[in-house]
Amino acid sequence: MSTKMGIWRGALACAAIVLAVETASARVIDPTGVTTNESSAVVLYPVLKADPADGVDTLVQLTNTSVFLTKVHCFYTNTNSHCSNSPTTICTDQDFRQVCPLGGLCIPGWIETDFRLTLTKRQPLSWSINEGLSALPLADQPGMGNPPQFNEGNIPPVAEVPFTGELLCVQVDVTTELPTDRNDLKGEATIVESPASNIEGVDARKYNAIGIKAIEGRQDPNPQVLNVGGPEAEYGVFSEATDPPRFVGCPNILTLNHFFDGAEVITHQGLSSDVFSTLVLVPCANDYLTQTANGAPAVVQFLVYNEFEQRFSTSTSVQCYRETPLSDIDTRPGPQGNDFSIFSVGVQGTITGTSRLRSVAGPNVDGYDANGILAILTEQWNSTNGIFTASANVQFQGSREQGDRITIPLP
Amino acid sequence: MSKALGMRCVWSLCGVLVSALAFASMTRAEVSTDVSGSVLVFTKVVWDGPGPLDGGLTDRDTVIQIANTSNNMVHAHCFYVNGAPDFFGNPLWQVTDFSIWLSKQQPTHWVASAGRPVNPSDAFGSGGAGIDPGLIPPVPPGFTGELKCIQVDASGTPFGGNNLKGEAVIVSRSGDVSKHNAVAILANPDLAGDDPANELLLNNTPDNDGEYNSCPNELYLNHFVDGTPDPVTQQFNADDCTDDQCPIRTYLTLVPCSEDFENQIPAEVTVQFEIINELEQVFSTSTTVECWKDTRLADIDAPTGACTLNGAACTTDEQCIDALQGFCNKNSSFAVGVLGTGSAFSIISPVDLDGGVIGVAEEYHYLDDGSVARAAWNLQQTGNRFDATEELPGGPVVDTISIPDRF
Repeated sequence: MSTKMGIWRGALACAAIVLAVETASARVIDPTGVTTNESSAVVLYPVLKADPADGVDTLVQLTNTSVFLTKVHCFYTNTNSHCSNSPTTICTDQDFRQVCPLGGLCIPGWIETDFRLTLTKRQPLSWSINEGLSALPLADQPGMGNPPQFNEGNIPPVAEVPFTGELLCVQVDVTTELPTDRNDLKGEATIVESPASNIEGVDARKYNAIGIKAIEGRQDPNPQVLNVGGPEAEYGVFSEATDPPRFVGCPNILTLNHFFDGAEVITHQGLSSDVFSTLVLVPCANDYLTQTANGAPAVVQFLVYNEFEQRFSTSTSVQCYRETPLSDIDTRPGPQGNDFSIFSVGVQGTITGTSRLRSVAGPNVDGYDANGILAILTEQWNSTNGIFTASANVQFQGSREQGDRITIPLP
Repeated sequence: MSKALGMRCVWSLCGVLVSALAFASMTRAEVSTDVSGSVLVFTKVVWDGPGPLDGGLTDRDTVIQIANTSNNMVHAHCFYVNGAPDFFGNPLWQVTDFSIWLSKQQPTHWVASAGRPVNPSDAFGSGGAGIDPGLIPPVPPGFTGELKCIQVDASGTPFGGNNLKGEAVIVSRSGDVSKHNAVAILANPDLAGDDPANELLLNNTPDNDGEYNSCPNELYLNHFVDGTPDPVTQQFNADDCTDDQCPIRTYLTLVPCSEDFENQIPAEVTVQFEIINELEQVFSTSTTVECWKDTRLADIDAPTGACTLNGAACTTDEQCIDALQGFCNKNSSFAVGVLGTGSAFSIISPVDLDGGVIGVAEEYHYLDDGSVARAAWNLQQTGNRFDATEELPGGPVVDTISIPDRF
């Protein structure tokens, strides 16, 4: 065999092996850098509610899953909108014509309040956002560890009620209070409605906080900015499915199974309930330092499939926080026109659907367009016995090429 | 260039390419509620029915939602497993299976008590409207158990497409609803369906190329302590929380990852609970999960208790509520009387060489008149059973789902 022939045969065999391996790798799942299944360095509670007048409050649970003392820097974001001509009046896109003085507009708000606390070895904490937690359980007495650990800090109540907003907690170093690469936090939120002299009883819904995992050893010298995915990723996961393999952050697509608005679901061989859904969308990026909310709004594209495999699409935008009934995504805010929405059962003709949400990528300047989004779905079931709600975590698919940045104030 | 040098160059280059691509072909091992998978486990499916129970407001039914997340036709073989207790209190473990087909991105749903007949003339907007995924049988009244759906190809052979996602809504006759995501077991697309095809090996981990992802080594559960008064009702609705009679209960449903549908042998797993309260104090207990277990946390280590108002012996809250004697409090490691704080963190670990478990939790928020709101959520996890038991004598543990051979 000549030298040339041998090299060619070797190259051919090599190509066959490469092809085989490449075919296999083409079917690898594209992971996302966020999770509700594992403990993480950043936990995001996208929906918090408090309204004493209606007996509504949120119970937040936060746990340190590690055996080490852990410090947490948390940020409440008050996303209440207020009337332009009555700054103390809280309004929404749906009701501002009724609640604001004549001529007033509803101005979206985004006010951040932060606090710090320590969590001892595997310590769970829970608190009501309306009351806060002025004294942590191990503030004055030591824990069981050796050396004994104490809680430091406290948790303030939310600054305004009624309150609608989110909570984000970042794990930081106990001494320097700078973001750390440990993934020790897990959390849940339970929204309970228990109004006085109620006739319908109590209602509760619960979801897991969304975790963003820190990448070990990737913390850069600028601890003020947390890079989620992107070229300088400090948070997220390594994806083998991208070309080339790289660190990725927030999901490219959110997938949610939902009932179409107004769907009549018959259970118990005769009990009828009409189901309506509300979607909360929040950006992955936040700037808590300059108190600006994510710059330009992110455009979110929806693909909606019904049970006939028929596909529809629509879009909306999210700037700092968006809570919207599904039917208001493509119709005017409020009940007007909802029957004509593509999220209406009357339009779709089937009870359930699947929606795929993709945030449109912005211009790639430095690899961070801050257009990633996360979401929570809430269903409202209206039956003859009352109105009840349930929350569900939305699922993720794929990874975005560009990343998102969370900017926090340093001590 | 000499022949030897040329060949060395070619094979070196080849080695680099193959290594890079082999690295690229590794999958992240996880059992997840965040992404779609090849095996869907609906851990808690309930249809109390009007039969064995009282037909009252507490009766529950379940709505199942499944979607195909791919642009190809997807087939799935589903198994209802009835874990309701028999006369002696052991799980019935009756299995009913059926097949579904979902077209591109198609969602579907059905109600457990009614199933879903194939009826092309279903009215527009009615419960059966849409492309019927196949004939789905109803479950019998009194059904409490799980639903497991395995992605297969057109021939019925397990297929690792990772294209299924699902949710379950449990609806009470009172109208109360509680929703959770199905747990998805992801497949390694290269190895799923290997011979013997009817045995699904849950042994894929970051360090081991297997068929399906290994089950978690530990489950994490944040929960309110059993019997702690609901802080929201205490705050805003004290009239319905007389003498702190508005307890929160947590119910936990666990299912072994191994299941032998071919030989009808229920798997058995003993799990340890490490319970940490807000004062960092640690308690522990254990229980055995055979086939399917749904239990109030306090029932794990305290079968009996006393009604809060008259002190009468009880085993369930319903006994005290029906007698207008409050709730059934227990001296359990999960109870507020023992733990002394409002919330706790429990770590659930299978023992020794037992297989893994997956689960879901559901919180009950009571008012003093016995009315209740429920909210379900998915458990978190850490590690995987295969890697955690690899070094143990007799390890590693490989959970296996055996589906019936085709004949």
